[in-house]
Amino acid sequence: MTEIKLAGQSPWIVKSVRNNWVTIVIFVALLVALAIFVPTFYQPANLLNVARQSSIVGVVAIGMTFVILTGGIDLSVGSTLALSGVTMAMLINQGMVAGVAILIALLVGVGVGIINGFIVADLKIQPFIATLATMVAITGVALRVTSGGPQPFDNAGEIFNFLGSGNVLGLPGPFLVFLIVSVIAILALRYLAFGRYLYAIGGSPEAARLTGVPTRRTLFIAYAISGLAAALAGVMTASRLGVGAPTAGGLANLDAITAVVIGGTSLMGGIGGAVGTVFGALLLAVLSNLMNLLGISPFDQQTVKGAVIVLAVLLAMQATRKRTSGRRDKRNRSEKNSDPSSK
Amino acid sequence: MPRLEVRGLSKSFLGANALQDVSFKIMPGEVLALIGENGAGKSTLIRILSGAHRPDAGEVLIDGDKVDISGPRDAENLGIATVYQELSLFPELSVAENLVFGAFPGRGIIDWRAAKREAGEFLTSLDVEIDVTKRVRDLSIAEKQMLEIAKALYRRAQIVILDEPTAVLGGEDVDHLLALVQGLAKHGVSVIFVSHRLNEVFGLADNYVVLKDGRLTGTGPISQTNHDDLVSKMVGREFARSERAVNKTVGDVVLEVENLSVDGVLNSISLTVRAGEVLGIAGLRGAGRTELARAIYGVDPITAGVVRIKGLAVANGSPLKTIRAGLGLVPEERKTQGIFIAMSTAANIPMVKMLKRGLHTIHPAEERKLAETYKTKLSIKVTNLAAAVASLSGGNQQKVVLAKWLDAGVDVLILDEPTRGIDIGAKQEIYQLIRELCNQGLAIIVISSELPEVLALSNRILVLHHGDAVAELDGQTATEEQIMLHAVGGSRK
Repeated sequence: MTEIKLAGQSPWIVKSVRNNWVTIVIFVALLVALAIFVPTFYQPANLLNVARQSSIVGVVAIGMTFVILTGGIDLSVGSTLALSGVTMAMLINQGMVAGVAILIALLVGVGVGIINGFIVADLKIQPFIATLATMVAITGVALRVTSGGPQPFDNAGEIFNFLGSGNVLGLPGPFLVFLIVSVIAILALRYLAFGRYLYAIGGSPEAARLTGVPTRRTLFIAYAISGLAAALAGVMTASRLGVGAPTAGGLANLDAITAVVIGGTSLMGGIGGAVGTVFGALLLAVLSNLMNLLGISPFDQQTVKGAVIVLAVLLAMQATRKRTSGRRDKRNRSEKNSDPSSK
Repeated sequence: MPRLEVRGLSKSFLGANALQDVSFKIMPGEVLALIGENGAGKSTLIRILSGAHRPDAGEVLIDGDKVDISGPRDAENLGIATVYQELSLFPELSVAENLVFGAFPGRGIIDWRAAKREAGEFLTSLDVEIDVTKRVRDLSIAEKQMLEIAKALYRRAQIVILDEPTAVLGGEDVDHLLALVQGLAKHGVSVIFVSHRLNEVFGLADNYVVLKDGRLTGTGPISQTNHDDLVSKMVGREFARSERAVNKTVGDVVLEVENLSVDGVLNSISLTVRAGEVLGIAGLRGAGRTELARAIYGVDPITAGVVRIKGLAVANGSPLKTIRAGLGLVPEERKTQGIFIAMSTAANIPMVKMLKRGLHTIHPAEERKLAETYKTKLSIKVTNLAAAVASLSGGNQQKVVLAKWLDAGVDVLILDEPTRGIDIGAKQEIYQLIRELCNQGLAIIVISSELPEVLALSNRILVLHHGDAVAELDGQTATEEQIMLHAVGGSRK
């Protein structure tokens, strides 16, 4: 039974690589193709640029992963990102200390998440609709407090440099933030009971109810985490630009969902994780960088990106199906149906 | 000439005979009662007649002609309509729309006025009083069923199969439905009526057919039989006493249920289970077995009554409260309710303990060790403990469910259909496990629709009928006939 022992004892890093092999294979293949066809990609300045580009969507996507694991979705992350950037900019302009302003901006994100959690868990409104509503409403709030105008602020401080455009230890600050957030998320999903509950609620809601999983609390926390991550991305965006813009959210919600899904997390919930999301975000950044280097027009880039999403998800679905082959085991099902005692 | 005749019908699934050499016929205007235990082969027979299954051998004749029913469409064209319990109506459409669906009046563009008029006239001709403009979701279950039957007749069905139509109905609704069936027969429609309630059968049917383990064990005019005769044909064998093995040394009362009621489902049920004892709960579908388990466990709200575990009341608690009080439930639907199907075996096992003790962190190394322990202890056949539990067979999944509860520690364990869909080998292992747990002093409730299972495991057997506890039998001396007689309501005519 050595084989079993091996499977049981392989380090979990190896296991997560195995679970995300599709994303990783595409990613590595892309890197190899780049080395051959677009060597300029590997110039250090360009690599750092890619890392920086992946960061903001990456942070949002990591937060989104928690929500999607429960079988939900968070469309409000883009407007939360904008509101938190605006909040920070305006507080600083009123003379508040940077650290405190950032903290309050982050709490704004947590607040939006708690509202989402309330609508989903207590009012029992579908997550898509719930967060669509908060998306629209939060954008309204951001436009109201700024009267629609961008809020420039002085981003000369050390902390804004780190969160925005600066480098630390030779790496872009935002990328370090992305990495730190990713590590925390990966560890939380692996070592906290809360992480287990996310998978339980998303994969087997009925079993979760019957076993007494604290569904309500878990949903609240998941949406709060998504809001917090979006707010952090908002602070990072504003720090880089020196502006808190009510329209900064753009399509961050769709980009984040794309990264999560490319990373192999099922939109049905219960399957996936943060490791895949990290690679999903990197893959998206590499892809758009590559198309820039190749001089593909921004219009065509959209089309290519769409095709890549379909392809990646198709492959990820194949891998997932193999891994949980029994989940939709038709044989088991028909066996049960034809068993006359089930009638 | 018979309207429908089947000759030598046989069907097997994966080597198990679901139907063996069954023959019978039904005349125009006849009501034929189809009777049998759960698993006797009634469903298979119905599915063959409705085109869902192809028989392995035998033939079906309609009006003397051999026919081939290879799909639901064929069945409809041949005038065979089946009304299942899970109705096939569109809840968001109106009564009229449902009735004429697929046979719309008008050319290309539907003439809704004509549809409504036709629907109304048609229902009136059947003495069914339902407003045709009502949406189906707003109808009562009885009305839906009558509409379903009307829909079959609207499509000129000559043979109507009713699959336990009254199981979900109460008092007056049953009478309405039975009157409708009698009306159909008067109009020359042949009706195959599947029911567990023998009292109804005697009032309604002309002839009967009894199936047992896929074979025909009796047929004839209903006027020449009685309750006891039918029950013995349904059960048909004496259960070997030697297969019964129960713990003789029982301890104190652990679980006490007093006058437990759930509106419309359970009527004032009381029971006790002692440490080291198995209480079997038997009853037919719709008798309230699963509902009783769920009410005790605290998932569904109860309207009256008390549940005490080791003397402490936990009534109307949440599942987590009852779990913390020492109760465990192995639910009926294993794949959706029992296990976390997308999670690994190793992750599944500690779930209940985590929740019960409110633990916040996970220790993967310990989880793996724990899984290894239970893999050996319960001989769970699994090659990779880190793979999704979905890849395990039904029996091994059920062992994972048991491992969850054993790991958490329980005083009372309720098992709802513990061996459904599980192969015979694994079944015996599960029985063995239940006996061991019992010997270790657990109080156990086993709910099962398989009477041999109930008899093999139980110290005492509680029989439910239509939400009432109608009898409590000694597990050592009870027979399948006795249980069935109480379960069909025969003990209180």
